[in-house]
Amino acid sequence: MARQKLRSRLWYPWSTRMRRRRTLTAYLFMLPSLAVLGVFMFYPLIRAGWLSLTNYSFFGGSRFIGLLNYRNLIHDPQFWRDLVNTLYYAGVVTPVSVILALALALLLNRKGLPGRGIFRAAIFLPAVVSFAVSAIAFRFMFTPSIGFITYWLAQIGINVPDWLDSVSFAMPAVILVGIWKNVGFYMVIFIAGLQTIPKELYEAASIDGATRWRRFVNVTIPLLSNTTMFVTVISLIASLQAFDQIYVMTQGGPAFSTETLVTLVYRQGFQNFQMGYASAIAYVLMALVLILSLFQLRFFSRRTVKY
Amino acid sequence: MQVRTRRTLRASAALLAGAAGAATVGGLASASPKAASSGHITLTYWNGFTGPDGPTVKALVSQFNKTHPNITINMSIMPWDTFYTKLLPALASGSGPDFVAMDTQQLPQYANKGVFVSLNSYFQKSPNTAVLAPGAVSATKVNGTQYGVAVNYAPLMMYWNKTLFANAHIAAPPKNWPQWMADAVKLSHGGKSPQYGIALADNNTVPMWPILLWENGGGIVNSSISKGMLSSAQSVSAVQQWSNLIIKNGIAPKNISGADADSLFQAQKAAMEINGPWATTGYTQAKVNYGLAPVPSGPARTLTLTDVTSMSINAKDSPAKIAAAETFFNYWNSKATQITYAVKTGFVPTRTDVTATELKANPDVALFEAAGHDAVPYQLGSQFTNIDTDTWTPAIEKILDGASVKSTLATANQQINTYLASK
Repeated sequence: MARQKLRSRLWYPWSTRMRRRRTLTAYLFMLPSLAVLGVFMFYPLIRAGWLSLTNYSFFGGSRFIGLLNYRNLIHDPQFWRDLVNTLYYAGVVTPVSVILALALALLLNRKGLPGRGIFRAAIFLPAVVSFAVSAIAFRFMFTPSIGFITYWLAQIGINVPDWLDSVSFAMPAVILVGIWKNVGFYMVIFIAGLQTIPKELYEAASIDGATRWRRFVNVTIPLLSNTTMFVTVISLIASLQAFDQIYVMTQGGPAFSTETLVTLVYRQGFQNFQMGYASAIAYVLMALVLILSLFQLRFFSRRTVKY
Repeated sequence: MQVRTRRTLRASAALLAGAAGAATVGGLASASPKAASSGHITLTYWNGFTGPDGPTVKALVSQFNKTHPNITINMSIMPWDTFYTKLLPALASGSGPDFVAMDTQQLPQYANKGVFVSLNSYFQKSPNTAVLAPGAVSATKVNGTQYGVAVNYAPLMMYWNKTLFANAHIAAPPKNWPQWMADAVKLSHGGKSPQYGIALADNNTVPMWPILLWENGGGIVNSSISKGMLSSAQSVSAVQQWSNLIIKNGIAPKNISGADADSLFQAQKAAMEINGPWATTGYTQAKVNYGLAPVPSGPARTLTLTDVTSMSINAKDSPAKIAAAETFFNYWNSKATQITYAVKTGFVPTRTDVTATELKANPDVALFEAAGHDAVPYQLGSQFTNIDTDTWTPAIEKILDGASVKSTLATANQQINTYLASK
């Protein structure tokens, strides 16, 4: 009791001052990042929010119009069509690339697999290439009759439609490229996650007579859930904001079949010059991303385990 | 406490991630001040002459800079899509170019925003304007005011592959629609290495389909750009006939872009293509044995499209800069410059007083010049993007994908009328 009193008397005043100083130091260290975030993230964010309440279109001034842009959005069939397209794209790309990445990670995490390094590098490579560049390459490969994919498929008797020029096949083509591009990056994260799982747990499970499948379900999956959460969240955010490869490959066409919300933001803002309206769409997308991300975080944080 | 911090952190992380999209829009809309210039006049000139005509444009501009010691033109050539993305934000923020060259299809949307100077008085005093091709003058007029001066004038013609025609035992290019359709069918075959009668682009292209509508007596909008014409019987029948040939007879690949059409013709996988004079250089280099013919006559009339690019001056320019830009316009449309430009690029001179002998160094120019007699520009007024890119192109894409011609065009026409009423 006496010792505790002494400690608090000796430590308490010092600790307040120190804490204040340490907080200040921390903020000073954060200042460069905060400045960059402030200029390139928070300011544009606030400004876009303000723009979404105006009818700004580069020229002729801008007038405050309240929530009119948002109200127009509800009645705009383009918005709903592109929302469906966005959900279609994200709904396929996210689960498929996460599951595929996990499968590849499990496969390429095995010791003694011949050519493991080469396979890992080959699968990771697309993640390093710029999305626009790979989209141009795929565009060429999908080009009817002179494209490499269509040509070789035709040689073996499979006459595929002109992917990128077909209303029903353009989206699957874009999705395919989206998965191809991202899967390597997610795989690397999964491999890193797999390597943090202690070997003893597998050994213990084996001794208890667990089959390979049981070990996967009861050891790998639960211990990987933090990694899975991270991968799923960034994958969903990335696919909800898909723009570059769609813009390069199809520009949202044919007949808007691959137009996502971000492509719509671009079209309304920079082609039709409806900046206010484009900002409103961007804000709705942001809300959507936020809600879905929070939902995911909740879902996964309940499943996190530590042994 | 810890739980709350973590939750807040998570929420802000998600917010940050989601903000990226919204932030882009806001960031690009902010303004920056412009530096003033004085003394010797330097003009910035933006355009998209990235094609084979680019080197000639560069040479002519540097010649102007040499012969005009008081004026320096700093030209930035960029791809057209970059140009159109950058231009309005740049003009709005005051850091835009002093003058630009752009397609006259796009001109009304910009002119209506008041970003360009009226050139009415220039047209009264310039030595060149009286001899400029009438089509080039009318295309640069918006609601009765002159906002542009033509840079080039490019009527479209039909390129036909002589080798593929000979292989199919067709002696000459088609002269009218029945011949055109029959030849297109004859020149198409499927199989391992398919060949198409014609490469007919519908998106990101110099307009090809509108010519078919016009020649059948239809169109996308009426001549005064006040009402849509897509639901007229002539428009419907033109689209019905050609889309049927594409879907049923495979005379053309579906829904291709202008660049796709060019590569098909260049790879000798398509026997015909409607295109402008800029394509001659590329096809010659690719050793395509091509001929040039007028677009075959339609049931209602013979008409092709002429693509006009024109120069406009930034409304924020000082009078001295405007005068300097006008000096460049005079130089550009002078007889000597136009002869050099036409001979080197194949574009038709913007002037009507250039004689055939002056152009004999490039025989293609005479052909395009003659085609220009039955040519009109593609004009949709200030609603160009809404009508062309956002309504008409998707409509034709849907039709080629199997949608009903009549109802798709009717819906598109309704949409066009809404746009035209809203201006």
